[in-house]
Amino acid sequence: MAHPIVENIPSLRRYARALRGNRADADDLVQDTLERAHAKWHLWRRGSGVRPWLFAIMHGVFENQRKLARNRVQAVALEEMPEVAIAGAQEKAAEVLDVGAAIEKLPDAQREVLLLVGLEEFSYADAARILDIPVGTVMSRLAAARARLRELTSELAAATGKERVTS
Amino acid sequence: MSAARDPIDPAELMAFVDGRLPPERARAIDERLAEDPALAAEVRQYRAQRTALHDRFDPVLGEPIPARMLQGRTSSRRALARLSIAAALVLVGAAGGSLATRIYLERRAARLDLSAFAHQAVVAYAAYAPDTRRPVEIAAEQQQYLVGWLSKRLGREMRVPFLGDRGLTLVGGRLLPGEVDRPAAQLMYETARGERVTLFLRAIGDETAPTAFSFRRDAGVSTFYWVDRDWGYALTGPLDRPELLDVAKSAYDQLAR
Repeated sequence: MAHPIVENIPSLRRYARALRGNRADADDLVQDTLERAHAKWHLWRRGSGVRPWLFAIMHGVFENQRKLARNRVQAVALEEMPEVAIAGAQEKAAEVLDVGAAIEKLPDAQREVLLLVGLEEFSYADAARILDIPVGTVMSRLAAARARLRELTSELAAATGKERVTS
Repeated sequence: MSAARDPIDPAELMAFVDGRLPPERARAIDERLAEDPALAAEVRQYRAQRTALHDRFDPVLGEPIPARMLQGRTSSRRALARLSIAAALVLVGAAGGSLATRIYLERRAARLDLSAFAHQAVVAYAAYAPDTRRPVEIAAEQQQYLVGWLSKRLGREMRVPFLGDRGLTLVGGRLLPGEVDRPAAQLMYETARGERVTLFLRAIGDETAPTAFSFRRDAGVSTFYWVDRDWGYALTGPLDRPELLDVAKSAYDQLAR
């Protein structure tokens, strides 16, 4: 009988971790989201799902953080982008194992859609409402994200043994 | 071979990957995959992406939730910034000579603070009342120690109301985050049926006239909360309103200073 906001903390944290990449930033994102959710709790419409509502709030907080970050540390952020090493098969395997590093290279808008659908298992309609974009845009971003991720980890299937590449 | 066919709509392919196509369409795509190894490989990779995401991030679901996330309001830097903006507004109102504005803003701030306080109590209830293993930090058996410790941490002499005549036995208590420099305490009681009732309390701001009981209802639990001078109390539990009010009155009488 936990409070609905509390019940959703674990999945908010999962999503934030995947979105932000590191724990500190992710938990800050969750924290700010919870604060805003508690403050706006009276605005939540009964009958509508609490979970999509919370994720929509998190999307808004994330947008704000990005705006602030853009103004502050644009140059640094670009330089800190981790490069995916392309070397021997061993390294490729390691790189493949860390899907977290690969999704960091996706544009934020694509990563959000990919995670809402592929990790949080929201319906396309819910993802559209959360991000306040048309369903068609959800679909095109999802397709683009998956194709780009496939490029980034093009040896994924080979390295995980699901499909041997003849070399 | 596949070149002779129309390309699959990307949106439909995504829905196929996510298992969200109606069976008929899914079968049609299955047939396409059978004759198009490249497309089949693409789909396999997309599905592997889904699996990899879950493998990588699902463990976060099992991580213990940081205590600060269980508060109704927090003391993060941004919250403090907002508070100082609110304070600045009050000052602006005062400097502008608009007494009405100032009183309005102060009352509004007090109301917001009280509702945030009650919300904090409900969130704390939700977090700890269902806990069967460790609902409290210090159990009722060590009541003297509990009272001494909480008094020390809260910076004021704590009283633990006796609610046995209302059918509530003390389980124990714990210290909780409240506001900056205002830690909170939660005392937990239990009915014979095992229902839990908590009394949440902390300093709440400037000394004010005692408020009437306020009531709020959240999923399955009711809360009566009130302010006595500068101290806020919230009694939360799954009881009927009259029953809870009766308990609240008893607690109020014993806690009144």
